[in-house]
Amino acid sequence: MSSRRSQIRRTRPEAIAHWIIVLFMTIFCISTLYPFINTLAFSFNEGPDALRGGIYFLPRKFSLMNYERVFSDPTIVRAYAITIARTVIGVISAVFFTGVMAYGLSKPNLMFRRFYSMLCVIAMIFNPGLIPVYIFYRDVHLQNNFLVYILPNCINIWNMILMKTFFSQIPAELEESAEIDGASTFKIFLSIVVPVSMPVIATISIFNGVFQWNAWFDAYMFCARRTELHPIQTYLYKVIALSTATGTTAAESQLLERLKVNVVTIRAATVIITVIPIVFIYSIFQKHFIKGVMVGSLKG
Amino acid sequence: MGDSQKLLNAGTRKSSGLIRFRKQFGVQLMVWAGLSFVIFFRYIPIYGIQLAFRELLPGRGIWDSPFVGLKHFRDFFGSSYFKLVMTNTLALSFMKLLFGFPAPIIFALMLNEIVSQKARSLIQGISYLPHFLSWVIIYGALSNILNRDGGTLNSILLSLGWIDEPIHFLGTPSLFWPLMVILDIWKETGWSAIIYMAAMAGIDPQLYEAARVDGAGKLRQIISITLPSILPIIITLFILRVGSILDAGFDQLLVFRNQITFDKANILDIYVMDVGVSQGRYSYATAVGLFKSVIGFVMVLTANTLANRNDQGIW
Repeated sequence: MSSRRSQIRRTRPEAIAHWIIVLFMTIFCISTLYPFINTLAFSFNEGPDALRGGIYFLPRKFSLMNYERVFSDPTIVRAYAITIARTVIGVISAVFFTGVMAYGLSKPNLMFRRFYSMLCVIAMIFNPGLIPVYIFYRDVHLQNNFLVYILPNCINIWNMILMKTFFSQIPAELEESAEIDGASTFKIFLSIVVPVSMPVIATISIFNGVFQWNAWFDAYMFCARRTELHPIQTYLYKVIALSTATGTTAAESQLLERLKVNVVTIRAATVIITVIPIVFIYSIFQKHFIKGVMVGSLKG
Repeated sequence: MGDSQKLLNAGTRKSSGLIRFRKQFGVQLMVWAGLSFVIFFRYIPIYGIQLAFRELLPGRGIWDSPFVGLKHFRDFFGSSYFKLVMTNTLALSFMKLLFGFPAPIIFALMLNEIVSQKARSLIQGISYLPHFLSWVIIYGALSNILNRDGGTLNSILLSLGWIDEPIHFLGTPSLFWPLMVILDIWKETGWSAIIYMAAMAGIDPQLYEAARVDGAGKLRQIISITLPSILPIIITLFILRVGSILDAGFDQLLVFRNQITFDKANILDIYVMDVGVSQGRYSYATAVGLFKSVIGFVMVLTANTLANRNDQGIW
């Protein structure tokens, strides 16, 4: 492809097409970045003033009050802590169990291998539905329980297949010497396989991390009664849902009342503090996980 | 993976399965450490599906509630909601497929024509940022722009003279579907284009060389070389996308719907949630959910079988 690019001779329509593409891409990139620049401007603007609208790239009346409010609001701080907790615990447990299972399934001489794969495929495409899951969580006391964020997400079949594909490409010679020494399978996994599998482990960590950081529906649905367990995204969802509706319960009306004055700017500040960690991680690991996605084919 | 496995197998091949199992007990244990989660969270909840055929009585458990056969299914198919919900689901999903499916292909083709490597990776990097953000965040970042009073989009359209009155983008039922489709494309195009970009990077440059010698222009090269080369992937992804036609974007609609656009956002998944959890009609909602799960299951299964003819299935 590089040789194709080395000599560029364009006909006239091609040159026009090229500039259209460049223009389109520029507009596309601006449209992607602008919402966050705009939100940043709102978050640094004085609350009542922002209601007039007309804020674009920069705040009109600069103020740090929104962030002061956000950081001094115990509900928001707590929700943020829950988000961090579920992300850290969720990533560690998911990577551990996904990795362990994927390694086992990557062994070609594994007994019942086809049966296990079939169980995974069916689980991947058949969804029991929201209500059976809702009832199941209630029956096993996972409702209104922090563990509902962690346990159901320990194994994601897609991620597991991705890891399995990576593991099965590791040269067998690496594990052989340890096998001769009589090391256990699990020890071989930890001491030999894990160190050479860092690219795929990083990829799966980021996928799980982003998933956990963004998750809000599980808390909204399954932890409805213990709002102190709600992560920041669920809190934001409730703020959004309330700003378009009227409060029905006393607690909702209270929340609505408290937010009303500066709802737009405080929401903007909350969005910014929620987005920043993702953008940060994203810009560091971007190249990495693209490679990870492309690891082998998905075919199990 | 040959030798180490042979070693593991050595001498056990003729002995009974039990001994072989015992030899690989460690590996089996590792598989089961993960598989138990799959069984616990994806298989055991299936017992709740029987609710679709029972009438859950207050104060009684699932097992004590009487069988009512297909009553809930008949109720759903006979209700006015059936038409509304199915229309919403299929219309939205179809529009997302029609416009959203070609978008990443066109995007990848266009991106491929950007000469500078640096510019290309910058555009790509920016383009898949929204994929990593939740719809909640996206709503939070967009609602001010789409606002009727002084929102950026209205300001632009007004100053261009394209509209006379500010538009209430999020509160106009007729704009709801187009908006959802556009936002879905905006969020996912960059990410979905990765796989096409990867496929295009794998095309032999000599093909383009030869075409240029023969006097083929850019468009000709795209039509005759690039598109045929990525066609298998296009077909596979299309089939699989069609398989999930009943997924119209649950969390997107949940976040963007409001009282004015409520009916436009009422797709199968949302209906199940509203009827089941909010109204407490568990049995009925389970039946509606099961209807969706079964059709979805069959469609994905069929889609994969078709894709496998391309040797491109997921399993």
